[in-house]
Amino acid sequence: MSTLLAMAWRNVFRNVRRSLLTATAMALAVAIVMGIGALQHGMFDQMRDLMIGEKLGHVQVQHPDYPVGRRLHDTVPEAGAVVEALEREPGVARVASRLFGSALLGTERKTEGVQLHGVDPVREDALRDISEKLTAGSWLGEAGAHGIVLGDELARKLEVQVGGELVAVTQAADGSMGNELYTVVGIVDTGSPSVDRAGAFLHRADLGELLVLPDQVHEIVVVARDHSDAALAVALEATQGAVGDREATVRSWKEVDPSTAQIFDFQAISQWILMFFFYGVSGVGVVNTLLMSVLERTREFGVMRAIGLRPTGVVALVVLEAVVLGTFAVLGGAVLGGLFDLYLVQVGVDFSVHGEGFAFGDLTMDPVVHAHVTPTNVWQPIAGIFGFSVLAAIWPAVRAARIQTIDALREA
Amino acid sequence: MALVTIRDLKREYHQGDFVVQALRGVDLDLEAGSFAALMGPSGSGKSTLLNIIGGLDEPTSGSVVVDGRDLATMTPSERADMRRMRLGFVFQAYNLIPVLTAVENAEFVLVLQGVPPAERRARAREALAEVGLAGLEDRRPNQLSGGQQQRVAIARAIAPRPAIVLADEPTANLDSTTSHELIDLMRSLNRDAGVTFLFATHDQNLLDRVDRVVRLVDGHIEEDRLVGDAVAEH
Amino acid sequence: MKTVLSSLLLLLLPVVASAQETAAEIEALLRKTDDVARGDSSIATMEMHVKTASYERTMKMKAWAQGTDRTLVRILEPAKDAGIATLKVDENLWNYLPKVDRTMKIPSGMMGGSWMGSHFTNDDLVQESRLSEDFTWTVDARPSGGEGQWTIALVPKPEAPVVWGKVVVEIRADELPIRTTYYDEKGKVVRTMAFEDYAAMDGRTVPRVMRLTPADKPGEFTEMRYVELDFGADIPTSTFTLQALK
Repeated sequence: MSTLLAMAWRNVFRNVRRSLLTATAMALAVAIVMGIGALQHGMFDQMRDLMIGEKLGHVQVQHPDYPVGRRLHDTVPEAGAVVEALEREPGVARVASRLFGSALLGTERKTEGVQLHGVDPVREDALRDISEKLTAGSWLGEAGAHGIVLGDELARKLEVQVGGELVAVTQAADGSMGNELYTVVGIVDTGSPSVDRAGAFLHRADLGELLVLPDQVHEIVVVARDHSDAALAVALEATQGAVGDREATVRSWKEVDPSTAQIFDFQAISQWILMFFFYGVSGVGVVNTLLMSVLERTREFGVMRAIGLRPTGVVALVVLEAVVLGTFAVLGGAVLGGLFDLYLVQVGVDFSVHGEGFAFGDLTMDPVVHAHVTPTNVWQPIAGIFGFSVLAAIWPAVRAARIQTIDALREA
Repeated sequence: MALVTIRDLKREYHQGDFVVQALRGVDLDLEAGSFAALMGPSGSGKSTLLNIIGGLDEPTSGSVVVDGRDLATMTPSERADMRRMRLGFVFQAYNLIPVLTAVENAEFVLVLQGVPPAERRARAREALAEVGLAGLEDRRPNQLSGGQQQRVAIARAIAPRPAIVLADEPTANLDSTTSHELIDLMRSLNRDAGVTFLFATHDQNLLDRVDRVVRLVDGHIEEDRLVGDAVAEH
Repeated sequence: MKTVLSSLLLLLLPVVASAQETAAEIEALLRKTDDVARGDSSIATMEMHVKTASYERTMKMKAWAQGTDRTLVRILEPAKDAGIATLKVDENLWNYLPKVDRTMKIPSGMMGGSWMGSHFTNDDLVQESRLSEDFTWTVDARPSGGEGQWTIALVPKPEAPVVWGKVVVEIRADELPIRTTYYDEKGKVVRTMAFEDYAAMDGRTVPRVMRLTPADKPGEFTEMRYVELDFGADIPTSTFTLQALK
């Protein structure tokens, strides 16, 4: 075997230019798949973070009728107990409960119809890092302080600054005209146009008071340990356990928003298409190189067969040549891909159109996408290109093994 | 019992609608220790006969027993094993493996035989020394002259200690001086080490030095005679 | 033969005669329906009973109206909402909230929203459209000899500020409204306003109860009942200002 390996090694270097060209193409394929894969990962991570953080969470708990009618009194029973139970679950990274209500919000001069988000300030911030998205002021404080944080577009429309006072009027759950005065404590750019345009955050207790829904919750949002399907399944099960037989539905974000879930499924598919395209191209390169090399060496294979090398030995030799070539290629590719990844992580790619972020559903993404390198992003192209090259070598190898000794020798 | 026993060997080739009768009924016995040559014009069947004895070609009919085994009844892979274990080959065009050094070429068959590395390397070096190439072990074929390359080929053939070395026109590509040296080498390997040689050749220099000449014409043996010293020894 | 023909003509005669009511008559009828609870000016005390799937409540309120352009409604009961007032001047609507002592103008985008938690929309209060002006009508039924009722189908004129596809009004022979049915563009019933409890108030016979029933929410309705109604009162125009709202 070591002799075969030595032969394979030297055969690869016999036609340095040809091998170098093929190996370079393979290395580039590795680097491209690594880089684009990581970039795509980064982009979809950003999309997922937005999606999960700003909108859906991984798992949602709601009153069965709430998603359909969004009626005030369709709240989650004993939400406090459910949240407490969820916070003890190891498969749950974050939990937040929310109360929603639409209201008129304004000053004497300007009024807008808004969606009020009643949140637990600490939990909500842990879930979506909202305090980092503030463009002015601070995040919500204690209940009863009647602080309100406005979407930046809404703040512009209402012509208010931090410190300004706003009146909210709404029809409370008991039918009365809930109304209250709030002080703007912060202005936020969440990246979700609907929230930025017509969303306002206040303490859940404050909103509960306004809506006459004390201690009530419309939605419990659960964030799993990571974005994987496995983590989702764990979080889903934990949530179902915490909800128990209370009258509430537990849905994964994929059920809540199937069209977005499809976008993420498409990510996996597009990544596979990308990978197999490059694997295929590199495999064709290897076939071409080895086939040329085998045909040139017909006589050599004939001699080796004549002096007793078995057909399997011939196959082994040619496949080993692919292994040697592939090893060099993927090592080079890993280095190249690493540099590519480093650039994409550090600098990123600016996808902005006229300085605007690009929209994804009703969310606006940061226009500069940074790659996110995962171990899979690295080993998959390396193993893939290597594996496909070795696989691709089988055809030329079998051809070499089929060379008829006597014919080969006659070709003097 | 003879090392090679051939009875009524026929070999036909189909070339389009024509049937070429390369061998038309050959009987031949070859003893161990022989230093014999098949001769005859091109197309007389001498290469075909040599290839069949070497298990590289199959007879159409007749029997070929080499080293006690009937090649006609063997599968291709059994014949490959047979070649690897019992036969040595020397070709007109040297046919060394270009990416291997002289010593690696010489030990190649031993590698295939599964001889342990230390032993095969020693035997390959020994074989190279026997063909007069001590000191050139690490040269690649393209760093050797034609004569040297053919010596490496001989070393490769004899290193596994085969029952017989089959050599097809071994001197045809060499100038006469080199050719003489090579013939001297093979002659002494035959005399001193007991290596059996069967040649297919029309090099008169070689024919002058063999013990037996089998002349083929149109696919059958026209003449089979002992020559030179062998006649005297008889 | 001649006799048969003339008796047929005789039979047809009343029909032809009643179909000859003038457009002016119908328009007057519609105008009366438009102004059923309005005089040039009026002061009313009302009870509004709202029943929804999630709550049922009764509010007492007082309303001042000057024609159709100016209305002020102030809630008297329950205590929690007391003092909340809505001022309408032309097509503008303001709410006054005593708890926070602020006045808010209802933005035009919110005109479809509920007024005071009832099934009436803000738009219903502002409503500029009039059956007698913004619709083309066809008479589907008419009373004859003091029996039966008017059924008039109305389709909004192309430029009219109307959200309905069709409105059908039913009117008693004595010209008091029975029911108004509102249809959407597809011809589906959206809501029904029923008039009941006809009684004389301040010298006029009016339906004391108006009940609005949304078609898509079974069991829900809003009922407005006049407790007192005073027509022709002298209301100063200053009543209908933001200052007065407070």
